[in-house]
Amino acid sequence: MNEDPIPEPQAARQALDGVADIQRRNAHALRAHVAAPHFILWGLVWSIGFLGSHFFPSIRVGIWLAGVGLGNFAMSWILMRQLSRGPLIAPDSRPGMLLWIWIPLALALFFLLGARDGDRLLAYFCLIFVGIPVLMAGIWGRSRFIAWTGGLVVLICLRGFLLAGDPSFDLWMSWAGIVLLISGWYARRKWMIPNV
Amino acid sequence: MSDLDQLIHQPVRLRIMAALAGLAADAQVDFVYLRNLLAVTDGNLGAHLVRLEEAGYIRIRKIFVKRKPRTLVAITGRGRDAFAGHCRALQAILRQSS
Repeated sequence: MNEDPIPEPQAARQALDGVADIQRRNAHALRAHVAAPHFILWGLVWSIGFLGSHFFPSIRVGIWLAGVGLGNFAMSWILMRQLSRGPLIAPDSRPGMLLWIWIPLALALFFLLGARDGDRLLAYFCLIFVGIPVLMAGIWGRSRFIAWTGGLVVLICLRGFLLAGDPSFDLWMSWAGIVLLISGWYARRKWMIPNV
Repeated sequence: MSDLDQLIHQPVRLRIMAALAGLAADAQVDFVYLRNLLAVTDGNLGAHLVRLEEAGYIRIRKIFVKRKPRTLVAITGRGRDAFAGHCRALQAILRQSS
C-alpha cells in the first residue's frame, strides 16, 4: 500500500464528485437494464393493440390475443435472460420481477371480464395493473424516469376511463403504449451499459 | 485523517468501490458490466479487483452460465466500512479547507 500524501481539497472534491457520478450512472443503468426491455415490449403490444383496435375494429380480439400471447412469450424470454445474464444478481430484484409476472395475470383478467363495458374495464385494468404499479415502482426505487412513465400512463388511463364508449377511446389509449415505448427506448439509449 | 484509505484512493479502485457500495447488501455485479460502466480494460479492472480482494474489500465469484464463464463481484462488509470511512475522510478535508 502506498503511503501517499493527504490529497488537496480540490483533489478530494474531484474524488467525491467522481463517486457521486459513478453511483448515479450505476443506479440509472441498473434500473434501465430491468425496466427498458419491458417498457419497449409492452409499449409495442399496447400501441399496436389500441391502434389496431381503432383502425381495424373487426379484428380487435385477434390483434389483442396475438399481441398478448407474443408479449407473454417475449417477456418470459427477457426475464430468463435477465436472471441468467443480466448485469446484477441481487436479492431485492425479486419484487420488480413479480411486478412483471403480474401483468399477464392482469391481461388474463381483462379477457375473462372484458365482455361487460369493455372500454371502462380496459382503462381500469390498464390503470390498476400497469400505470399504478409502474408509478409505485418508480417511487419505491427512487427512479424519476420510471415514476414519470407510470404517472403519465396513470393520467392517460384516467382520461381513457372518461372516454369509454367514445370512438376516440382506442386512439387515446394508444398514447399510453407510446409513452412506455418512448420511455423504454430513451432509458435504453441513455443509461443502459452494454454487457456481453 | 486516519480513515483515508490509500488503497481505495486510487481513482479506478475508488470508482469500483463507489459502484459496488451503491448496491444492496449481497448484490453481485457482472464483471463485463462493471468494465463497461467504468470504461476500463479487462486487464486493468482485473488487476484492481485482485488488489481489492486481497484487502478483503470485495468478493469475486466465478460461475458458468450455459458453459460460458461469468465473473461476479460483490462488496464485503469490511469494504463497505472502508469505503464509507474514506468518503468521510475526503469530506473532512473539504470541511477543513472551507
